[in-house]
Formats: sequence, structure tokens, C-alpha cells
Amino acid sequence: MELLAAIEQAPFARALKTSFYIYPLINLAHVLAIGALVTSVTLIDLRYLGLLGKLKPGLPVAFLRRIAFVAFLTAGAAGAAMFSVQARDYAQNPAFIIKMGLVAIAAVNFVVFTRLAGTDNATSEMESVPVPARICAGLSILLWFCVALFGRFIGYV
Amino acid sequence: MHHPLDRRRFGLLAAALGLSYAMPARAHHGWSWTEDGFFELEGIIRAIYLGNPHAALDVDVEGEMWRVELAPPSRTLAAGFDENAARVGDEVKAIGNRSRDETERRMKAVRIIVRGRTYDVYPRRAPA
Repeated sequence: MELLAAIEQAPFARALKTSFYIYPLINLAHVLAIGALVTSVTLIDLRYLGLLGKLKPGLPVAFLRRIAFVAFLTAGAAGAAMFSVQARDYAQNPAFIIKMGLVAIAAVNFVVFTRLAGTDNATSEMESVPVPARICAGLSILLWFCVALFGRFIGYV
Repeated sequence: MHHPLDRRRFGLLAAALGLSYAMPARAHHGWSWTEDGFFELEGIIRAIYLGNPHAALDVDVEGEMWRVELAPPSRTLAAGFDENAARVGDEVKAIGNRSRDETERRMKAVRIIVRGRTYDVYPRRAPA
């Protein structure tokens, strides 16, 4: 609790607290980054689940993973900035707590999925995708959707 | 003054999400979680928060703590309610809409009265 209170007193957090432009712009960056993240991981997931039809063989999976990674870092940085303004409140917000748990699980799943699937499966046939990797793909869609859902509810619970 | 359009829009959003009615209404955003009729509260200010995403007061009403949500900081400041407008320990009267959840001591104020001054933080919603 003292740490959270100290975060709120940091110069950056204090400036953000009453800013007219910066706070909504950081909020926008957070939302846009989540859009890029969910879009890129979902494309990868659907490709490994064999649900992308004609797009399947040509999908630049490694490139999409890099986009997902950068989007994740951006969303995390923007989210941390907004968290700092009311750290004690958010730390007790049930939607926030669930979201952070889901983010951790989804991030681990992303790493495991990348290991299992390898870095260059863009041309491989669906039969060669191991079942565990397909499970990761299904989990990924579900987890990131729930991350976005619970994130949206932070402001309403 | 009610704005049925606003309420309908938030109602649609809530219905689209499908979850908001299943979850406890302890919200900050929007008005979907509040009752329609006006509600009044009088008490002693115990804490003042003037920041993003919404300003808020903690108000002691005969021993019970209430959270009184205001507008975003820019709108709250535009209404004249700044750092010097009130101090912890001041009496406050808040008029607005309380949470539909009767077990929850939370309201969203459209007007607050402190030290004899009236601040309409949501002027378009404020009573005449």
C-alpha cells in the first residue's frame, strides 16, 4: 500500500493526474496497442487452427509476432502510466486484478506457443502443426479476448 | 433534466456487452449504473480527488462513507471546483444520481454545494 501511494506521488503520475491532453492520449495509445495486439495474435491463432482459408500459407507469422510483441510493450507502458494515477484504487479493482492475472497467463501462453510452433511455419501444412500448439492457439484467442473484456470493465466495477 | 438519448446509448452498450447487468454496478463511467431520479446527500468531506479519469469526494454521512463521483477533472475545474474550493472537513451537499445497487454507497453528482457556493459539474444534467 505504501509503495502504491508512493507511485501516485511520483512527478509523472501527479502531472498525468490533472492533464487535459496527455491522459486521454495515453488512453488512446493503450486502446490502439490492444487493437494491434489482439488483431495480430488472432491472425496467428486462426492460421494455426486452420481457420484462415486462403490466407493460411502466406501469412507472415514471424512478422505478426513482432507486431504483437511491440503492441504488448506499448499497451503495458501506457497501462502502467494510467495505473500510476490511482494505483491504490486499481490494485483493489476486481476487474483489474482478473485482467492482470489473464495477461500473465496469456503472455506465458504466447511464449510457449512460439516455442511449440517454431518461428517459421508459414509454409508448413496444417497436418504438421502439433496438437499442443493448436491448443495454445485456441487458448490465445480466448485469453486475449478476456483480457480486453475485463480491461473494459475496470471503469465500470 | 434527463437526457434519454444518453441513457439509451449507454443501455445499448451495456446490453451489447451483455455482462453489465450481471456484474455489480459500482461504476465510474457513464450513467447506466445510476438510478433515474435525483438523489441528495449531505455530509462532511473526508477526501478530495481532483484527477483523471474522474474527480471524486469521500463524504462522511452520519458515520457512513459515501463515494461521490464528479466529472472528469477538466469539466470539474471548468465548473469552478478547484483545489481551493473545498477542504477536508467542509460540509457538502451533493445532488445527482445514486447507484442502482442499494447496498452500495456511491453516487454520481451533477451539482455540489460547498461553503455556500454551487458547482454544476454536469450543467446539462443539473436540476433547474
